[in-house]
Amino acid sequence: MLKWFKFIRSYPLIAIGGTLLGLLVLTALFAPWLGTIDPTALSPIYRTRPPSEKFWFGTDLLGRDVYSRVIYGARISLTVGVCVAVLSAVIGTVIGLAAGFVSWIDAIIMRIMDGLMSIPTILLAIALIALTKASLQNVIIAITIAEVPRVVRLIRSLTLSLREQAYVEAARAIGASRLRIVWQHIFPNTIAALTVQTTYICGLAILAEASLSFIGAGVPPSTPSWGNIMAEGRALWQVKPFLIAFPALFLSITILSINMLGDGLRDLIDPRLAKNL
Amino acid sequence: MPTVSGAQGTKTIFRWVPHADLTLLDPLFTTAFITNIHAQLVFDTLYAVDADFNIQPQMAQGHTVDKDNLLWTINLREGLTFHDGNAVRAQDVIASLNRWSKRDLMGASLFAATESLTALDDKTLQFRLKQPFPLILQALGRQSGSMAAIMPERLALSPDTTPIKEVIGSGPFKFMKDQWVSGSHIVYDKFEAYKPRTDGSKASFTAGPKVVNIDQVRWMIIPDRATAIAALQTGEIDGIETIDNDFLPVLIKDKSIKLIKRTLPSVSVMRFNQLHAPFDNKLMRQAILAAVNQTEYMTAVNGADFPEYWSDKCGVFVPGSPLDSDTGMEKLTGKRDLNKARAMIKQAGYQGEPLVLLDPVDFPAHHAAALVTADLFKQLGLKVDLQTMDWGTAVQRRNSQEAASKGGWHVAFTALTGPNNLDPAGHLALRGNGKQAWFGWPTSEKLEQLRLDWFKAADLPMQKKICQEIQLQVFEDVPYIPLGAVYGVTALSTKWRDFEPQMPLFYTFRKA
Repeated sequence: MLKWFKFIRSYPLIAIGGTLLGLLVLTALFAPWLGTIDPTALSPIYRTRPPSEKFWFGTDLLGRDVYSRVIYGARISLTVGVCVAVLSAVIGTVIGLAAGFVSWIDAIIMRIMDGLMSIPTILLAIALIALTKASLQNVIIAITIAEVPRVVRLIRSLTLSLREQAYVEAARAIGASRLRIVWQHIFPNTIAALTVQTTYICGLAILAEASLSFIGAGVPPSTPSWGNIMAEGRALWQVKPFLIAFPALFLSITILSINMLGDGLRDLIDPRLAKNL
Repeated sequence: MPTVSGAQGTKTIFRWVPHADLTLLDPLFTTAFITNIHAQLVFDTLYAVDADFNIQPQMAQGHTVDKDNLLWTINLREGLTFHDGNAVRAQDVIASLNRWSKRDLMGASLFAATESLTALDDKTLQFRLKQPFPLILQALGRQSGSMAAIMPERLALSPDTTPIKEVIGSGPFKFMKDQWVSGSHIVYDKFEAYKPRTDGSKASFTAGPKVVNIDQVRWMIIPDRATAIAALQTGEIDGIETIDNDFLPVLIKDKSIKLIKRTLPSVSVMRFNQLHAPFDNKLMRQAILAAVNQTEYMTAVNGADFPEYWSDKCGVFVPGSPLDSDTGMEKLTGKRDLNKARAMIKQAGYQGEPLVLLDPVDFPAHHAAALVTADLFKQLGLKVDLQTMDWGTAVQRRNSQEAASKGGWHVAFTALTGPNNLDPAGHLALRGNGKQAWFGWPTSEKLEQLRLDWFKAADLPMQKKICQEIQLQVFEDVPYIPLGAVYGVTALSTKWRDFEPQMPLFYTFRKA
């Protein structure tokens, strides 16, 4: 117990961010048992009702319960965030290691990555979505493609540095294969930085999904995602601010918690940096 | 600059936010209401409609008709001038009517009954009919889309397959093409040489003396309603054509703004693709009709707080208009029976194929209708494929006659404007001529025949009787389902008065 207390005192960002994120994950998992109703159930007679005892967050333009939609919306946002983060990390790590270790691959891959990175994430995602049909799966793929270059560049630069280390030279001297060197000596040393980067990508992906949905290029509008809820309420934000306020609040808390967790992990991994800050 | 309210120097300018941008300038090439309004400002017609839906002479001084109703002689008023400075002649009128007859069904019907149309002199034209056409004046005075707009002969003689390039009419306003910036603003200047009628005290709908009291009307294109309302409240604009009901509580409290309920509503419509299964089966369409609840659609679109601005008792024609009736309305307003609808669907042999619904998410009224329909279909046990898209894509997609699996559709949503919904002449959803009909392409010989019968109806009681039969036939064939009528609400600065509640026809405006 004392150990936990000490940890929390030393790394408050991890504690607060992790707790908030944990609560959001639990909210998403247990949405049906949190006083929600069907988030797609229409009830036009109760259209645009303000928050009340019956409708905690009010109702939208078609009488759907905003509370239920926001709670179920957490599932979409977190699914996108986690999937994009994991996929980007896996794909980016493989490509980054290859680029950092094999110079002819590096020359080709990094030009492609530079090309992709020169296009803003959201624009690239819009372009990719425009080529396909709006669906959760395609949104995840589009944002992943846009985020992979960040991971590739990070892992490649770490690999370039690590491969010059003495222990790698030693491994090479005793005849270890390239694959063995990468797997046993380089990859483990990239995990710390990769973990921090992954948390940021998770946050960026959630924000990108909300942005795509807001402009009508994300998951289908009938799906209750935070971006969709805000998009449907934007025309009335001056007279019915609750239509936007609640999903925006949840989105902000989610991004804040992920960023806090990411900052905390960075401090944990590199305490000198935390002290300097 | 238009940021100055009302008068600019010596000019009186009215700044207006229309319901949509103007894209097509020729009224014979679209039924879009915005083009209809534009055309009413720029062009004049031989006859016109007053607020009580009576036909009145407009460009015509009057007419004589022989006892067999076969020879109609129409005299033009003195002093009529086109915007290019030339006088209006009978030859211009004849060329214009010839062009109109090739694009408009009622015009085509009139000309089918016409043996000859000749100019007796510059101010007199004569219809010699093969058979009586009792609605000749209604045809010439139609106020809806495809109106019989009079233009110079040189323009009217251009091919009827392409829109006119120049907008020259003889109406009370001139279209200032050089000042038109698509997507930004459209400018109409008062036509100083316009000669209003001298009979009657003031204009009534499209009829009467059109005495223009302002120098310029400037349409400002502001798609976002909240931004438009803010501009109205700060005095940057003078009026907004259509306000969403959700903003009414705010505007009601604002003493500098008055709200005007429009008298001609638009009718929301659910349209079936009748070229493909399952809606090629009448029983399927009848099943949906038995389940549709107009109240649900209207509250989804407009909310329940201001029921005075919508009607959930909407049949084939505009509620309360001369040809509207209760005949057969129990099919639409009676008790909704979902079990009966499910049984009918089963009997129709529905195979469980996914039904493609076109959902234009950027058009709130049609988006709401699509979602309510998707919900209803699920309750009926139908499999729904709700395909979201923007309005422009939906309009393109609905023209596809392919099967749903090849880029077609099953159900689409749109609205019919009030002027087009007053009688069978301009009522697009009533056409039953198969692949030549409006999208959905229903085939109904009975509906086509009833329309032709209506053209020949001798008097209003006979017209009403035929329209009752049309309504019964619509509820039998179900070429479409009316989902309710929405009365637009116009917001106007209290600095102005005398707004025409049927259509924004700016010749009635004046400073308060």
